[in-house]
Amino acid sequence: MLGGAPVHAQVTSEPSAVVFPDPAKFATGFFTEGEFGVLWFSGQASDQIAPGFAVGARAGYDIFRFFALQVHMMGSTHQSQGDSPVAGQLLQVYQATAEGKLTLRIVQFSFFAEGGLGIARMSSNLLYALGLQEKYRTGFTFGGGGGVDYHFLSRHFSIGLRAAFYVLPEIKSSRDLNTTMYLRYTF
Amino acid sequence: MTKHDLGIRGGLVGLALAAAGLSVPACSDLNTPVYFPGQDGNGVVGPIIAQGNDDPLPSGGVTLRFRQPTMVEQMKLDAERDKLGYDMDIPWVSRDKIHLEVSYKVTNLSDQPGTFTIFVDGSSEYARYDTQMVATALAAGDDPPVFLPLITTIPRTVDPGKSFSGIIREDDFAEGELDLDALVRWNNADAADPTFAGVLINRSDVDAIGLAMVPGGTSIIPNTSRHMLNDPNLLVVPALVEIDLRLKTDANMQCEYFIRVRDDEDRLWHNDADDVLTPDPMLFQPAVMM
Repeated sequence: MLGGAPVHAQVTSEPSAVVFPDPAKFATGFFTEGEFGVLWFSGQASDQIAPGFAVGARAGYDIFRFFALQVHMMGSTHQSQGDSPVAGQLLQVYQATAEGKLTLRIVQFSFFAEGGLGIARMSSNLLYALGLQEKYRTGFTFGGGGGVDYHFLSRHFSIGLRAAFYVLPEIKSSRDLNTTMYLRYTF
Repeated sequence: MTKHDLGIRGGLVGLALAAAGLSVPACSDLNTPVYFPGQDGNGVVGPIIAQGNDDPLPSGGVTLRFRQPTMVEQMKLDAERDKLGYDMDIPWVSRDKIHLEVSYKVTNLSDQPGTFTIFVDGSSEYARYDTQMVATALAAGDDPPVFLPLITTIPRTVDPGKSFSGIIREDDFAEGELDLDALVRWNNADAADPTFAGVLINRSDVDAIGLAMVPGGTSIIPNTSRHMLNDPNLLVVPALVEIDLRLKTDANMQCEYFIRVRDDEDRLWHNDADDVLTPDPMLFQPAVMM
């Protein structure tokens, strides 16, 4: 007679507040990013080379939740400007860097700073011909930047906005700056 | 992990690999010209400066250095000559592999308006042309000299202190290079179809007068008096290896310029291990000099 009745769970109190989404459930580890934006020069090269459209990709690994290592490749296309006879010529800039990245996560947002070094290559010797580049086409570069990342409710996807500043020692008194939006997928 | 997750992951990895694989060759082939700053008549990088009504015309130029073909490449050139069937060498520095363009800016340094024209001469592996020398040869009495350059710009008037920028395009060079080759390697002495002046004055795609000796020959366009090349693609035309500019002005002006070279098959010399091509072109001389 006692064992025949089914037992039902019963809510007896208010449910506790749930932190949602839970950053602990966001994927971590190997990740890739695709980005697009604008890259422009500062210093002497900015007089001769106009800002241009940039696309890039990153791949990296989150060693800890707050620290990752990544490789970054970016290409941008520009037009020469000014009163030189070669104003209006096209120039592409390719950059490849190895970087470290520090991240501070606050729920769905994270703020990060990153930096590294690598190489920058020009598609032609245009800057060399203009007397701006000391060596032909390929040179050393270093720098860094930061940005903000927003994680979707998906465990894997996030988007973000970043800005970076890279020194180009082979180009006279010149740096490049870029601002990009990106989509990130963490495996 | 669901099958859906695996699908997304696999798709993204595949997309990234495909993008990386496609971008490397695409970037390496995309817009890779080489620029050479112009030199003055002393071979120093800088503008050509004219005082106005100069005689001879002030000039400058750039000599491009090319590597010699490897044995395999030379064998390919020989095989191509056998295939095309005409008894002349196939140029290593050819118009279909080397594309030239000149970007220039002419500034009027005087205090009055002035007019300028740029003449382009030069040499290929086989032939050299010198407008100034030809003008001297053609000079008659006190008449003003007649200039017949390989390529010329139209006269432009520039106000004092102002500049004019322009481009001598790849197709202008293509025409000038055919003319130069015709003058030396395919010269037709027939008075009815004179090569000299005929090729220099006319664009070959409009009137191929003077090109009758070029492989494939010419024929008359029906219902016109104009000529056309029977097989415009038969001849492998040598490109210029030396580009010479002359500045003709009636006021004090300067011409800054750059040569842009698109080198399709990496024939410009840039590796110390390669031997430099040392062409020995024949100077064209009009009939009145010979």
